[in-house]
Amino acid sequence: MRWSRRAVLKSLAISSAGLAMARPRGTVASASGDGRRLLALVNDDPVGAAFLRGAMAAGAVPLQARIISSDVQALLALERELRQADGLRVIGLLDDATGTLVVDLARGAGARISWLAQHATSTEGSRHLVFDIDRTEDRTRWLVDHLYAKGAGYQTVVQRRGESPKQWSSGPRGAAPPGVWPGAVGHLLGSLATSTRAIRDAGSDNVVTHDKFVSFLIEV
Amino acid sequence: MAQQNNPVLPRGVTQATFEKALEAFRALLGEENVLAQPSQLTPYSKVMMSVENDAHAPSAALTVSSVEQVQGVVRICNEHKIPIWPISTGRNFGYGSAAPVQRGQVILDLKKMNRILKVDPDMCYALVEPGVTYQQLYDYIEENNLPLMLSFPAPSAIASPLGNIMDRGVGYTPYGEHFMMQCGMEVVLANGDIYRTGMGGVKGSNTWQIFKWGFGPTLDGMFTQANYGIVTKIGFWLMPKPPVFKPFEVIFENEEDIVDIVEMLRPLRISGTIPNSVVIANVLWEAGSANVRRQTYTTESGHTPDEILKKIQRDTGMGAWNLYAALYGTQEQVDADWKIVSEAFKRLGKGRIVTQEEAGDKQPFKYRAQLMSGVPNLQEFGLYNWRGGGGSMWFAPVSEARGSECEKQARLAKRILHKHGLDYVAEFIVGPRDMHHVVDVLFDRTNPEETARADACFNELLDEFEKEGYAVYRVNTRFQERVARSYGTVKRDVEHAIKRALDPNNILAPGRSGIDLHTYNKV
Repeated sequence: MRWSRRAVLKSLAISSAGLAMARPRGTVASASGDGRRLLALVNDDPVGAAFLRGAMAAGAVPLQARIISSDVQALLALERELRQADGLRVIGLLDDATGTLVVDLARGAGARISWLAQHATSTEGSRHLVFDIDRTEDRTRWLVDHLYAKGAGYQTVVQRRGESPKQWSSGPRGAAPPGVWPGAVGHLLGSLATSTRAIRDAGSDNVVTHDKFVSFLIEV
Repeated sequence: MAQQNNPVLPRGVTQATFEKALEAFRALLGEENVLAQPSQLTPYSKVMMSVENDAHAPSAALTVSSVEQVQGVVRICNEHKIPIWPISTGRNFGYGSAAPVQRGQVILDLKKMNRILKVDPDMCYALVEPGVTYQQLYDYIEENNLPLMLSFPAPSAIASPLGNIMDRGVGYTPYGEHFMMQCGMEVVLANGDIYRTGMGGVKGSNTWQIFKWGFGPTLDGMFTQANYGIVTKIGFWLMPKPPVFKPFEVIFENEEDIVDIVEMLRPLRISGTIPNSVVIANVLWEAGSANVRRQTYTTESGHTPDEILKKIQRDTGMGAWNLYAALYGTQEQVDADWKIVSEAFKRLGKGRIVTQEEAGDKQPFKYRAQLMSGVPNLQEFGLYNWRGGGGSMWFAPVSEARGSECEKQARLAKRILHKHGLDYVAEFIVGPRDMHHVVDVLFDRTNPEETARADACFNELLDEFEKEGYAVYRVNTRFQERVARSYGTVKRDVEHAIKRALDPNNILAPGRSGIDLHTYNKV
């Protein structure tokens, strides 16, 4: 099945005011590089929509988007899917509760996790705690550079096995939008999942949120 | 595939020795069951504690499928002096996730040993392997239409009965003191021997899951919260499903009501009139579980002011304390008990009773009723969205089931948490005589300053409670050494003497509950 913008829009429109308003811009479906299915997990909110737009802008298509919460049956179904899948990548940006569960179920299913981070929005901008797994420092630097280019404040800490943490931070400049990071994280994970080397502009979606999130790239 | 220059190694083990051990593990288990790539280990490395993930990073993880493989792993570990950290499903969350107590330990993941070996509907027991989850067991009982009911903790669906029992966890039914319901276990010892407790050593015995004690010393308890063996099978009793189940909630408006609640409740619990592990949840536990988020009310840092807590109460109808209990039995039994219980609450003159008929599908009543009737769910994870940021450490001091004691503990915990700018999110789980006072220390791990405050807060909670003669019954891996000190040197000497006898190479989870031959020095 060829997932396209139409299909993503259909998934975006699932009974949600927030997501129903989402409109991915300028994305065209194309064949996935290695044929593995790409699934995006988001909450039913504008943050999820911004994340999906960012992922699609990175060329992460075909993309199947799924709204998920900490409903037990949905999560157990996801675990079964991970366990039975033969070539599946799952990117996502989820609230802490659901994200914690998804990451834990991924372990139970024997999946790999190639990206894991926690995100928060503060009055000074955004905070990102990134667990650098496969030497993805260049991607984290891109995230930081992107936020800087948008004038957004950020505090980013990168933890890597066996090394001291690295930290980058910058205060907001001018009337900088604090909520550009969900789209940027979507863009980053979309490019990581599809092994897109050239990272493009992730757009300037500004999502107002004070919730906190977990992002991930799971591979089976 | 050989790992070169693994940045995380077991304590005292060279790269070369570690490589040899990995090769031996691969020969025993196959390449696919020896996980040493960073992306394979990340799922095992995520912690919720007030330290970096790297502080508890494993050097590798192994997955095994049989008791024989466990024995083989133990043999290799002894040969190369590799410390291993066994997990069943590793879903202890606020009490510690899958990550090992000490950096560099090799995780022994038992999730593939997931057979339900027996469920006896007449004798009402189960015998399972470590990887079996409560959901798996629940599905089995439902599919086979067995007249049995489970008891489990809040992460019910995804947690393992073996793991919860071994950590002496609690549930919310009349069988809620889970270790009390345990009957028979099989343990792989550090020398590879297989030891069956209770009646399990008797050839041809059919009473392994029937009679706990066997003959001579009974050692089951010695293996819980410990590192003397790897439990590969566990038996436990199941409650017959009652014909009638009547859950109810009693909502109390004021914090100080805790004194009267507990005084009124204790005789009902000790007499067995209310048979299950009753929960008394405070407003923030209740709100978090119902997916109320702090940012809806305030985006200020620090603890949430009492005025806001009152506003949450007004907005949601929740109480300062919210008591959940249930009655079980025939209609006649439940009717008789309900008369006693409801009249006791009426005599108290405070508290608003809510029945299932009144609550309908409203949360958090619905998930509480499910937990009390053995239906798995994950609703309580909503707590992690209250403040957000991935930090959660459960502080769980034991209290007498006495009103004045509960109030004293609640005030002390709240004062310390507020001092550190964190919220008092708590519940009391009521046994007949004791209370597990469970406080979820929630904090934002994306904020280094808040993480440091949470760490200081947890230390102060331990210190200040200890001064009052209180100690926790269970704690996450960061604080196990600290808590072990609260229980005195004689206990620790005995524990280390047992460790020396059973595991002289110190390969089984050194550091678990503070038991570690390398670091412990007799005072």
